[in-house]
Amino acid sequence: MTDIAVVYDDSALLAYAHGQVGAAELISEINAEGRHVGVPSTCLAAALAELKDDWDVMQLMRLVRTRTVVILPLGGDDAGHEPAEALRQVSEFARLANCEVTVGHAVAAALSHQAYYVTASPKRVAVALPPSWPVLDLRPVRLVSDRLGLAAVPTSAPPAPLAPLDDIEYAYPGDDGSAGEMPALIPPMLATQGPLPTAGEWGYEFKWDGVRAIAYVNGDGLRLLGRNNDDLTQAYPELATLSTVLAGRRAILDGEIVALGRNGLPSFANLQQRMRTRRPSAQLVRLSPVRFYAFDLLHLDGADLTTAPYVERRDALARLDITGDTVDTPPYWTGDVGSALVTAARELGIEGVMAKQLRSAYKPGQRSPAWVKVPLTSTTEVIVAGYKPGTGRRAGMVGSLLLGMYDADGGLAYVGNVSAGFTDRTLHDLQQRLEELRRTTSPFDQPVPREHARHAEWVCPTLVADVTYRSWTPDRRLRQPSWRGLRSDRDPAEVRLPG
Amino acid sequence: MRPAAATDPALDDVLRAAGFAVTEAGRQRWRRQLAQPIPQAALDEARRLLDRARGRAA
Repeated sequence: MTDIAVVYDDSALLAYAHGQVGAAELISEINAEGRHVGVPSTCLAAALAELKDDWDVMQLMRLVRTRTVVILPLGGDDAGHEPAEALRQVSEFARLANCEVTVGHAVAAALSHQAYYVTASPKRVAVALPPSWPVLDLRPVRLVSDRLGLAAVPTSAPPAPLAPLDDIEYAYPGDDGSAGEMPALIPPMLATQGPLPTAGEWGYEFKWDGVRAIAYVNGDGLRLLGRNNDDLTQAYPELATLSTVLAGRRAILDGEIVALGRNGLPSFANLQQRMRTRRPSAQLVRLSPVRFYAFDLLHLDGADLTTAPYVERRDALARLDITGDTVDTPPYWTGDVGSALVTAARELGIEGVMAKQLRSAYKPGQRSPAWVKVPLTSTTEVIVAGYKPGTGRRAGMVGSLLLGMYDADGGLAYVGNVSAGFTDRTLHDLQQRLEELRRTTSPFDQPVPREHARHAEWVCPTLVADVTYRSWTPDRRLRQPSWRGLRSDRDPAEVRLPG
Repeated sequence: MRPAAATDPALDDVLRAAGFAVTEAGRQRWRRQLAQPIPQAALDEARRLLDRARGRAA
């Protein structure tokens, strides 16, 4: 029998194709040991079907053509079973895994070859594998923990049935201690901005780049309210699975709606199109899916948890075991790890780090020093005043945007170009919008430096956008700006150079 | 450790072309995990599940 050390399921193959270095390092290690990576044919077909970019398809195909990878056919195995028998075996494991044939195939292969199971979706697999079968977890946040040697506080409990929070005394609205009604509105608690706190007892989380939302799950119904209490429920229909995951429980969760980028981490750029759409089509939901990252639990089955300390709320949240295709519970860390987490966030391109006092209560609607956000980049509003056509891979699309802000005299000042942070979809969309705004003369009051004005197309300065940047240069230009998205709710006249 | 003869020298090029900068530290972390043997209880349970699945097929 071929010496297969690990079996990659479809989610693991997608992690590789999307550029997750941990997926590649594992394959490299197995190759160095002279062993093989098993890839079930159904998993390969499913992963290829999911990939939208031809380049990703090409890279995955190159990988599976190496001698390190062994494609495991459906209905055939090294043990000499007849095809029908091998197929039936796969189907039996698929039955355990909610009829997912790819999982059934990968589980059958892992067990037959006594190989580690590799996945980026461990919960999906857990139901079909023997309880102590080793699973190598490719989820990005898990890889961060491993890479830094950080032990995250567990985010999911053993699969024991969730008991009521009878070991913690929480405030119930009823005088008799009976379960109370679920509040109709809990405005989100806000953080103050500051340096990373280290003195005292703090929990640290990554700061996710998405849309803040409070999820009200009442039995089988879900209501999602945004930061300004705007109803987002219909804008993100795939998050209705939250009520399924909670299996009839009544809960209010604080979290972030995110769209994952190619590296498996939240990408604000990928979320843009969904943010602009109040009622997305089924196709848009399929092409630009979102996830809900739950990071706090404010109410559960009649118990008000806002008065409980952060660490107990997180413990209760962990016991809910909120993980699935569209929902997840990101970890938090305690102890002397804050600066390591900042380093990791910087390496991974994550927006920043949140520090939360372990003993702090949840203060609805308040900006509290008990929550400190440590952003790694600053964000500012800018006016789009022109663009340069793209070349090479960006031919036919926008290559970069020329940005401006109004100075104290009311003149439009050039503050730099942005060419990073775009998705292809955003560039196409911008190209169409900017075509309609074209004009023949520069809207800037002062000449734009020659190298930036060259090949520029000018537009009426009516679009406002958010960009992130590292700092300002002495000549008032943005250093390393990166696109975040258009701000249709902002008036260009209000976009001013900092004093 | 298995014999190096079974390694594919082309793999590193494939990973590089795909944009990966594989590090020894990264590989080492996996090496440590792969060095853990699969628990005997899990192997026994796997054998039982495989036999049962085949048994149902018979």
